[in-house]
Amino acid sequence: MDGKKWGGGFKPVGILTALFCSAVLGYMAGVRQANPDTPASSKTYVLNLGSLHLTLTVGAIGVLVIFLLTVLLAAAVVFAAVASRRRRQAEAANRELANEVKERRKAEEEVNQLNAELESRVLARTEQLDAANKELEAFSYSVAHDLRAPLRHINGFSKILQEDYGPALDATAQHYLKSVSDAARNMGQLVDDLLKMGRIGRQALVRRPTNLTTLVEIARQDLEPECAGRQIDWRIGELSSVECDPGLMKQVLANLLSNAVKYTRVREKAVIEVGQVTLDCIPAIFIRDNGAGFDQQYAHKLFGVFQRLHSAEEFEGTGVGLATVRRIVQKHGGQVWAEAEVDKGATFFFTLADDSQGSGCATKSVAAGKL
Amino acid sequence: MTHDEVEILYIEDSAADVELTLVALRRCRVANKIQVARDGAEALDFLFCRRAYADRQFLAPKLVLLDMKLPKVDGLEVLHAIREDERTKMVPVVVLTSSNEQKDMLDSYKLHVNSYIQKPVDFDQFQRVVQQLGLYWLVVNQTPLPESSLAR
Repeated sequence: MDGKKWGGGFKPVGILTALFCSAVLGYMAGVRQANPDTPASSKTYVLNLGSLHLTLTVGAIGVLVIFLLTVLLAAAVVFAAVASRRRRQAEAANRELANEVKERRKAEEEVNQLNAELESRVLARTEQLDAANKELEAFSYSVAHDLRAPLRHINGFSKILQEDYGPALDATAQHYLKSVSDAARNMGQLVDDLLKMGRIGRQALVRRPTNLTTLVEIARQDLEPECAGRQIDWRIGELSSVECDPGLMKQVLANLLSNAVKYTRVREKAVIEVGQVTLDCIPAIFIRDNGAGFDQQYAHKLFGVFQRLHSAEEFEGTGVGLATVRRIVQKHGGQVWAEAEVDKGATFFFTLADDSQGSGCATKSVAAGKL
Repeated sequence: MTHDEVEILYIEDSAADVELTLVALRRCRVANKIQVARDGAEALDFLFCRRAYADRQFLAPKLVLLDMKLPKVDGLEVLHAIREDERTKMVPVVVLTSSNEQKDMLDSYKLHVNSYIQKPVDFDQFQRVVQQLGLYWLVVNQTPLPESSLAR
């Protein structure tokens, strides 16, 4: 209730009070004048005047009281009507609210149910994945054990035949035997490389701060037997320290450096450069050589398993090395790509950070060939 | 050769592997006293003079060459049995297997295997490995006499 409405109620009360006061004052004046010292005639006059004033005043008060009661009654009726309307409104609002609460509860239950469903589905999928992983492990175990054995036997017996009975065989027979033992050895290498790659896929990444320059130096030293008798100019620049799995990162560098050594075999003086550039605001490591290179239009095939851009007669290999490199780099959230020209060498780049979360740098054309 | 003077107990289920290994060992003339067991059960029977070998006089071999994946009783179980028995717990055991699974390697070393070797596919390498093994464990390496003989 606001003050305005109350103001209307005060007015009649004020009038009533004024009238009551004047009546009392009038009566008192009459009484004062009707004291024993006053003459009787004037006393009667004063008394009559006083009673007239009193009668009038009382009548006015009665009228006012009736008016006031009427007003109060009307106000009470209006008030009751308003209150009942408000109550109805409140009841409607309450019903609406209750409905809303009910609906919300229902929605909440639905969300909970969906969540539970999702959770059970995730659990089921995880179980399936675990089972698939176990199956894969069993498969690779059996590949390791059961597939390697016959290859070893083929290679072994054909070698023994060559060595112990070679003189009794003509040149063609000896050539065939050598092909048999070579093929078995190559397949053995293939199986080993594939298993190694499979293991990388299942291996958990253990990131540690790693000095890449040191890692390159270690990988280079491991390659010394392959570099024997070769003239190789190593230009290893300063590389940054990064958060990566050092064991896996060493495999990346070993693979790329070993490729550089292998494909520069055709050069009298090989130049192998390792350095770091910033592309699209991300540091990228590169390994550049002046070797046989390759046709850039086949660059997309380079990192596929068993994909080779050179024949085994030109350059030996199983086509697993670069696939392994890609798998490791991708596991680190990075990318690997290559730029080359036939007979002019090749440059392999790789990043370790995920550039989709980069600092908003515009992607340049260099990203086009990324794998 | 009598069963008593076996130098190498070679436990291998593949006939082809046995043949290749024997060729390699014969070529370097390291060992000719080799007993081949074709599964883990037979190997333990031989080693501990049981069943078919009950009349054998116990004598520990100088070396046990052990494949991992074997019928009946597998390589790890054989290794476990060898390490459990007082008479054989110090016998050098070399695992010679196709697998280089980390789990196999770890389990073998936990059971105190003396060496774990993956058989190379290439026969030249395989031959080298087998010959080095024979030479090292039979010629270079020294093993103590049984404790029972010291007490006497």
